[in-house]
Order: sequence, then C-alpha cells, then structure tokens
Amino acid sequence: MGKISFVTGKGGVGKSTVALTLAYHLSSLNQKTLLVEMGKFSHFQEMLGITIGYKPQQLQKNFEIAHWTAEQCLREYVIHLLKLESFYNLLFDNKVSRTLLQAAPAIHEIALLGKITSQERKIGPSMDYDHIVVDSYASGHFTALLKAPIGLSAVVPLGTMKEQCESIRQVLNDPKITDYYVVSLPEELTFIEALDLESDIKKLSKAEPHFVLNKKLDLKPSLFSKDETQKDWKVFQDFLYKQQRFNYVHQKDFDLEVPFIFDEMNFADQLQKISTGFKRV
Amino acid sequence: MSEKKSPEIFIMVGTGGVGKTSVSAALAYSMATKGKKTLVMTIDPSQRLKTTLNLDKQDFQEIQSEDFKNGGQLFACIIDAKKTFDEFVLRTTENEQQVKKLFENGIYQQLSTQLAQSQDFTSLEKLLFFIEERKYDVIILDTPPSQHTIDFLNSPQKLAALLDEKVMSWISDETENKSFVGRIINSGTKRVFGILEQLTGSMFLKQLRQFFAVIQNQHRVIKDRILKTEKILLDPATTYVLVSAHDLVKIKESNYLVSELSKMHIKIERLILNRFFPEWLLLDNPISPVNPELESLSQKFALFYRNRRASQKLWSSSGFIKQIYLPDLPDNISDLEGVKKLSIIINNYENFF
Repeated sequence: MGKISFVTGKGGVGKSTVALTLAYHLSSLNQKTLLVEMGKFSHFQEMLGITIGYKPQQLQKNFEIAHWTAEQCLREYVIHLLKLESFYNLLFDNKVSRTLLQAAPAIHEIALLGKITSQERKIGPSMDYDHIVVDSYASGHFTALLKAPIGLSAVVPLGTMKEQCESIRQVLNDPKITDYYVVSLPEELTFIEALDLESDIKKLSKAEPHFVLNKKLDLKPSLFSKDETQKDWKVFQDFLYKQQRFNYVHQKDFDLEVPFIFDEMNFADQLQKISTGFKRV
Repeated sequence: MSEKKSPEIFIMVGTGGVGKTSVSAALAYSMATKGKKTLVMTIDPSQRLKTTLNLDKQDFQEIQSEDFKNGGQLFACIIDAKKTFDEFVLRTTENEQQVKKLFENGIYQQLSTQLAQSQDFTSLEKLLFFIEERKYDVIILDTPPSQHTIDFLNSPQKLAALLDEKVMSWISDETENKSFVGRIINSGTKRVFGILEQLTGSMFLKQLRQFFAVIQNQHRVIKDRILKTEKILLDPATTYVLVSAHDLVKIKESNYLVSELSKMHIKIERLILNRFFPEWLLLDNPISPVNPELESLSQKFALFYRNRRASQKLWSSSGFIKQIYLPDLPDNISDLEGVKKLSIIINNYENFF
C-alpha cells in the first residue's frame, strides 16, 4: 500500500519547498517517491531548472517528479474508462460536450484527485510508488478540491460518477493512506489562515494535519540580552524578538520547523538542511 | 448616496502570497483619503480581507476613518457565493415555482455552495451589480492567485458558451417525459451523449438536464449579464494592477501571468512590488548596535535583500509604465493601522493612478 501526502498552505508560504524537501527526505529513506505538482504553471521547472511533464521522470534514485494538469488527468481517465482514444476525441470534438466538460463544476478537481488516488484504487495505468507527495493548491482552492467529491457525490445519487467520488473520498479519509501538511510562516495573518485551513481539513477529511512552520529564524537568546537604545536597532531587535516568541505566544506545537535560509541560490544544501527536520515527523 | 457616473475599475492580479489583499485594501484606503467613494471587493476564498478589515459578521461594511476627507468613503465587501446566487435567481426569475424548483435542484445547491468555479460567477455578478448601482467613484476588485486569475478572467467566455442556444436546447428537455438521448436527432450527438452517460452515469445527466430546463427561461438574462461582465473585464478603461514579490520564483510566475493576460488582450501597465525592502532593517546603518551579534545578523539580512534586488532584471515585461515599491512592515498587515501605513506610502506616488 502506498501513501499520499498533500502539502498545502496560503500562497507564498513555501509549499513547494516543503513538498520538495519532504519528497527528498522520503526517497532518502529508501521509499520510492513521486513528487506531483498540480495546476498549469510548474514551479519546480523554475526551481530545478529542468523540464517537467505528465510522465514521471527520475531526479535521483527513488525520487521521481511529475506535473499533472487537470486536463491531462481527465483525458487519461476518460480513455481508461472508454477504452478507446477515438471516443475521447469524439467527446472533445463535439462542441456541446466539450463546453459541458469545460464548464462542469468539480470535474477538473475530480480528475486530479482521481489520478492522485488511482494507485490505491487500482484504476488506470499502474504505478508502484511507496509515497506520493502532492504540492497542492493554496488554502481556499485546496478546500474546494477536497469538497469536490463530496459535492458531486451529493448531486448524483448513483452511477459511475458517484462510485468514483466515493472511492476517492475513501482514500482521502483513510489516515493509513493519506496525510496532510499545512505550511505557515511565523506571521500573524498567515498563521490565522493556516489555523482555519487546518480546521477545514479536519472537517473534510477527519484527518489531523501536520503543521509546518516555515522560515523560522534560529535566534540565540543572547541577541536579546541587552536592549538597544538607538531607534533603528530597537526596531530590528523588536522584530526579531517577536519572531522568537511566535510559538510561545500562539501556544502551538509545530510538527516541523523549517529554518529561514539566507542563501537563496544553493539549492542542494538547502534541501539537506531542511530535510533533517523531517526526521521528527 | 447620490447617483454617479460609471465607476473607475481596478482589478488586482498577482501570484499567491504576495499580499495582494492587503495592497488592495491599502489602495482603497488611499483613494478614500483623496475624496473618492471607494469599494474594495474580494473574491479570495480564504477571505483574508475579512480579517484585515474586521468583516467577520457581515459581508458588506463601511470603514470609518478620520483620514477620509472631501466626501471620501470606504466600503469593503466579501462575496458570499450562496447569497449572491440566491439573490440573483430571485431578481431574475418571476415565476415562484421556477425559483423553488431551482433552489431544490442538486446541481444548483452544489453550484451555489460548494464548488470553486461558482466563485467566479458570483463575483462577476456582484461586480456588475455594484457598477450598476452607480454609488461609487472607484471599485477595486481583488482576484484569486495567478492560475485562478486566468480561469477567473476566462470564466465569462466559458459560461456564455454553456448558455449558447444550441447547447441549451441539446441538454435541456422541457417535456421531461421523453428519454434524454431519445430527443437528440443528430446521431453524432446521440453517440456523444451515450459516451457522456457511460462516463458520468445517467443520474448525473438527469440532474443536469433538470437544471438546464429550469434556467432555460432566463438563460438570456444570465447570458446578457455574463457578456456585460466580459465587456468590463476587457474594457481598456479597466485598469489592471499586478502585485508581486521580487524573488526569483515569484517574478517568473508573474511573467507567466502577464503573458497569459496579454493573450487575452489585457495589458498590465501598473506594478506594485510588495515587501520590496524591510522596514525593520535599515540597510546601511552607520551606527553600531550595543550588541555586536545583532550587527552581524543584520548584515546577513542586508545581503539577502540585496541579492533579491538583483533579481529585478528577470522581469520579462517592459510594459510597466508605473511602479510602486512597498516595504515589508515589521508587523504584518492584520489591522486597519497596517492598511493605513501602506496607504500613506501609496499616496506618495502621486501619478500612479
């Protein structure tokens, strides 16, 4: 049985970095890992400077990466179900059905989730990963993603669609298979939003998400031993002090703290440094 | 409020996590200080504006401040998808029976409450509603992050295609007695629907047909409104403002957004670079601190921010004619004070708007 991890959080909190590091960490534990990116724009393509497509490609031993758009997943699913590519073309060449499929609510979400959970549900082309790490959508769109199979299954009381939605939900709600990572920054507003997201995920999947604090400054207590007198230094010191006390003030235990990294360029070292933190999770 | 001419529209676009919502609020605040009746609307499902503007109980609220002079006022609105949908149906449907049927339809219920795409329709509908109210000088619309921005701006086209006469009549079945597939004369279409049915199950198509049968009567009204919003989105008088951060990935993502929008003939000439420099760190402080450790840490930060500035050359668009640089404030913009602080900086850029 493979496992699935969804990494989410508000935009810009470093979801991709955390997802990449988690996947890297798992692969270093000798688990065959696939890192999946969703949506039209590939961050990893920019981050890693390689071309990433639908078909998984190997980055290193046990570590593969893929970029899945909803359209590609839908295409694969339709062809799998109808057994014939010409049927798919018929469907998408017809103006009415194409319009319907493009505008139909939740179809794209279901297609993506269907693909991500396909290994567990034994549907479609076979995959043999120990772990799939999904760099998924930001907050609101992530909950919309989780709601899609619930919503659609409520509209359709029975039939193929209903069965698909239910089997997807079963995988998403099974804590033995699926877990969730909510990423936050040590910032007030981001943190509040992360808490909202955490409770939404709890409601939708019954899972207890892992909480990750990204860009945490590692500050020595000695920085605060003397109060600065000059205004600019005081502002700087106050800023640091707030960061330092963030966990304490918010009474939250984070499953993982990822340090702030000053050097943006050295990526391999960054991965090494962050992934050591995952040993705690 | 008195009736006014058509408001100026600002559409704020940008990648996730760059502070688009805070910047939208600050821009609105700045407009209100200049004597404009301003409305800021958010469709961001994470409802950040709610926290920032204290909109926890209502979806529409006037923000009071002594800074607003010469008739300037500030209103903030969060789009409640379900409410907007229901109001729209009640406004456009005369027949009570029809309204009841629609409210009871499973697809309608899901559309109006659960599904991501419905946000697009409701926010455009709400935007049009506020424009037609003619109460505001300026309306600022905050949009969902990048890829979703593109989907959002494309949504009128997608929805209008769905409400095409031909599509409508193929899907809906007003007699309700005839079998769904049986009605379709064209054998090619018949085959296509057979495939669709195999794919989704007959119950789904039945619900869908019911939904279309109910909305068929007012589909012209709906389509008319959707086309009106599309016109507004593509109107050269509508101003697009790109909000971005300036690290490598964000710039590349913004470049992608700019090029996608230009394919839709939307030009972005205004750029707001948020968190461009840290206000909590004086980059070249001539005086040493009491604690030397603090100085070495500040040098590390200074280098980090200088490296980021170097990434400025990665912007592929040279189309920005006006730019604003905003600082990273020591306290996150989580209240009106923060919004006000940013708005003062925006006000210094006199010719931005």
